[in-house]
Amino acid sequence: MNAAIGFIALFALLLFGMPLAFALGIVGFVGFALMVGPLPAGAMSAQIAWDTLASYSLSVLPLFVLMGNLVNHAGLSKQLYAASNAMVGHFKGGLAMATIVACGGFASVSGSSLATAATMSSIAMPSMRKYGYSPALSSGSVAAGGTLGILIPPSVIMVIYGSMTETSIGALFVAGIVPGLIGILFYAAAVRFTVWRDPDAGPAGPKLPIRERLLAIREVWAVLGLFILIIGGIYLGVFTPTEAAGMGASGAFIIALVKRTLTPAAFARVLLETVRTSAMLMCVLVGALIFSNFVNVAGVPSQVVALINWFGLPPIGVILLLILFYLILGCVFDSLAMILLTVPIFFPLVTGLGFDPIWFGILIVVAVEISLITPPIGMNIFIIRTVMTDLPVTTIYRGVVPFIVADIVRLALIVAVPALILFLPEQMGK
Amino acid sequence: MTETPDMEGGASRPSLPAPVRWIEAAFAAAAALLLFAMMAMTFVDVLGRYIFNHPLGFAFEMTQIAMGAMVLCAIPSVTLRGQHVTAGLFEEAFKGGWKSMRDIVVALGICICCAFMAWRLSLLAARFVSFGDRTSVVHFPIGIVAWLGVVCFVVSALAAFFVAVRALAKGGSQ
Repeated sequence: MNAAIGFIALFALLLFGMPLAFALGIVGFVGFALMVGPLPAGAMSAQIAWDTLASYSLSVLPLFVLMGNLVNHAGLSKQLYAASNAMVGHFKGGLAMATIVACGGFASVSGSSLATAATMSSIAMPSMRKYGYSPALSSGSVAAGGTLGILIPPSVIMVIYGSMTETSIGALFVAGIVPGLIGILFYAAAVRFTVWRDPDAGPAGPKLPIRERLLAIREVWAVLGLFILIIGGIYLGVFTPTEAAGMGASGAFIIALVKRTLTPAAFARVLLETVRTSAMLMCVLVGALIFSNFVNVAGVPSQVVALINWFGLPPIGVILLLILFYLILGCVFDSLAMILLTVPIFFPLVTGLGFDPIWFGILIVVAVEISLITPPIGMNIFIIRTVMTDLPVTTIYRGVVPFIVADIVRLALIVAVPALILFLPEQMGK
Repeated sequence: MTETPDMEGGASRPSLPAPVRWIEAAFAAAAALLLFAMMAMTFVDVLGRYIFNHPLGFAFEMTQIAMGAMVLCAIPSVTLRGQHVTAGLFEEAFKGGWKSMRDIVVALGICICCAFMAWRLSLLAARFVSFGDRTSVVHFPIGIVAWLGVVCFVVSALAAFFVAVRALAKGGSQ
């Protein structure tokens, strides 16, 4: 009952426009104070803020954000697109497939879907327009490709999930690789399907001679090298995730220096942008942890378990129900907000049923990825709108439909075959 | 993911009085330096460990300290610029006077939260100082960072208050 009032208050605050961090913190604190007392609630809030902010494991967050910003600044995202284009651009719908591949490449050094979509829409959209790609296909491929940002490691959302549930962040990163690659393949299939139905939507680009192709690919060795350094390092146990993030950021810094794309003023801007983004994420996380303490004290997880038992659903039925819930919630809620609100409740339920915490983490990342491109509120679509202001939202939504179908097929696949997620992390450190 | 790619709005925010700009810049610059230091320290530590067989030893605890100090120093800037993430549900539904009123209430809410956090963190900081809590390798006094946090939350509360006053002035002039 208390929890229900808490949730209503939270939604009211969020609807009113109170920032996530403060809405979560206020409701969490007040709820905890009403149940346990104001003094412990105050002490709990300050302790959480301190433990979360001065945390070794969470320092991966600013360092990975820094790496993504530096890579972008070094002009590597443009070269990624050029290289992808050289590889697949001559196929029907090739530029759109190149967009997907380049998004995947950028995602491998960036932890954020919005950053991926924003970067790629300014790079890929103009050339797709030049070659006469339909606005629906071109914007749809950028919006969908952008969602790979939070699945292909590093990933901000995985860091947050890992720190909320005390699941290994390194293992989550490694677990995201295969579903991320499947994502790229299925999105490419969605592009093929679109051009099969309407060949005019994505005409083939010119075929480059082999030499030029190899040259274009050579330009992106740096991105590939960074990815292998950080994920390989985590996988082999050479680095902690924080060290990997620090090495990745240093590597991106050195690459930018070598390429002479980084002026002192630009570097200062990159650092400032990174600390602000990080502070914002950390505030949200503190709020969410305070809220999650209230949810636990109010006994919500055990009530949910009781409710599920009362329905007598089999475990797999519970998972399907949760996925449905995420898909519906995702239509109106932002991905970060969804993770923060639901993980404290669903995580004990799902692990109690015997599911693997890493598997569930990746599953909900894939599920919330879809929320980034579903109407009426899909953040990636809004990002594309800010870059391509003349494109009607309805066109973009039409363009993402095949990709949403691809996402749902992928979700079904990883539910049916958990090994796709769990195989790699199980080999870690062996 | 929710972070908005930072549209550096230096030119579009000419209305901030100089002292406010300076304070914001000082805290943000401190955060930026800490971030760079964290990156460089990790690099040196890892290279030291694998190449020279001589890690820094204090990298773990100093990363913790730098991380805390960095985020705390960056909060005032995020608050002043109104960059805290919102759920993005019906923000556009408020127009004119209602929007000003909403902005004032939200800013005051943030102000109270930051002030409250400053107070509670000061109790924690006082305890760190009185117990003499220090990091284990270089014996860095933890209380200093906690007190820095208190200052940052006070400044953030002031920043939020400033945002509220500005929204009030803007609402009044319409």
